[in-house]
Amino acid sequence: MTENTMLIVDDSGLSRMMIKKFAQASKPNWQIIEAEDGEDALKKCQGQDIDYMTVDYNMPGMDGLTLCIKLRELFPQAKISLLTANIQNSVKDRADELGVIFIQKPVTEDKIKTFIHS
Amino acid sequence: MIKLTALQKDALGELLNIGMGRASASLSEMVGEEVELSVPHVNILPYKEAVNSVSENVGKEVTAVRESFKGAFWGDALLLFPENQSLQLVKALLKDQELPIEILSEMEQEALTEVGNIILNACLGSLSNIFEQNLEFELPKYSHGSCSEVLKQDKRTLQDQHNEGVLLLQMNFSLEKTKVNGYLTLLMDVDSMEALSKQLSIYFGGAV
Repeated sequence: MTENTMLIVDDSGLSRMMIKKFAQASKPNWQIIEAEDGEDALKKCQGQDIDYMTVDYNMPGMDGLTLCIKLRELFPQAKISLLTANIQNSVKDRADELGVIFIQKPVTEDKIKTFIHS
Repeated sequence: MIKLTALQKDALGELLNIGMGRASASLSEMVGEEVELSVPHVNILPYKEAVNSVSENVGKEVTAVRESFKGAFWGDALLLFPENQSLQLVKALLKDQELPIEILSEMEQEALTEVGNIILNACLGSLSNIFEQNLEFELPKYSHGSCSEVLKQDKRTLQDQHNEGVLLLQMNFSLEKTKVNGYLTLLMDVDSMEALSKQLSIYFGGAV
């Protein structure tokens, strides 16, 4: 069976490290692609088939929701989550409108597990 | 110098309390221990006195994460730690990662920036939700040095207006097991303070 590919976009190396660790604890065979901002993510996902994505909101360059719109066009079937410390209702509402799952930081194993089993 | 009424001070303290409650829940989730909170302090002070007040609490040498915010009101939010305590927090945060001390030291800046980002966003985000006003945050910045250097503004906001005073909102938190004390500080200039008072008045239906 083909294993899934997960894209992790976060400008914090620490966050990427933790998300990756928790994802691999549940799904050790998944391919993980890490990107540090929106532009890097769009470059690295070229030619890939991405199934799951976690996207931070506050990053240098484009914000996470702008990136989610672009990623949604490229991967209409993918499960996308906005994984952010920004808990404002306005951000949550925009994520909802885009069909993006909102996950509040800090990153925990349970939150990542729930997302990748959703 | 502009003054806040006792009721406005009380309301601001209560809102900071709610914001910090949310922030401490996030911190507690990160380090797996209870976070104790102080009562909130709300003051309008000349800029220099505000710096002195922070320095008296946190110490002369500090490690800080700063996030500027703008929207219906604006200013700087800082998470401050006494110089020698930030590594303790990073250790507590990464306790399950089994990383050697050299790597922990290397990761200190990055880890603290992310902790600051989560705490400051949780606090300001709940204020934004209470007022139903969107706030935009700049990216978090890590700094380290003397308290006055760390608090120094690189923008117009506080420096040009220090004679008129700044609004200083401060709350301390501590982790008993990890032995870390941190200080969340919000600094706002006079115009922002007035904009915030307007929001308070709307929120409390003109009672404040």
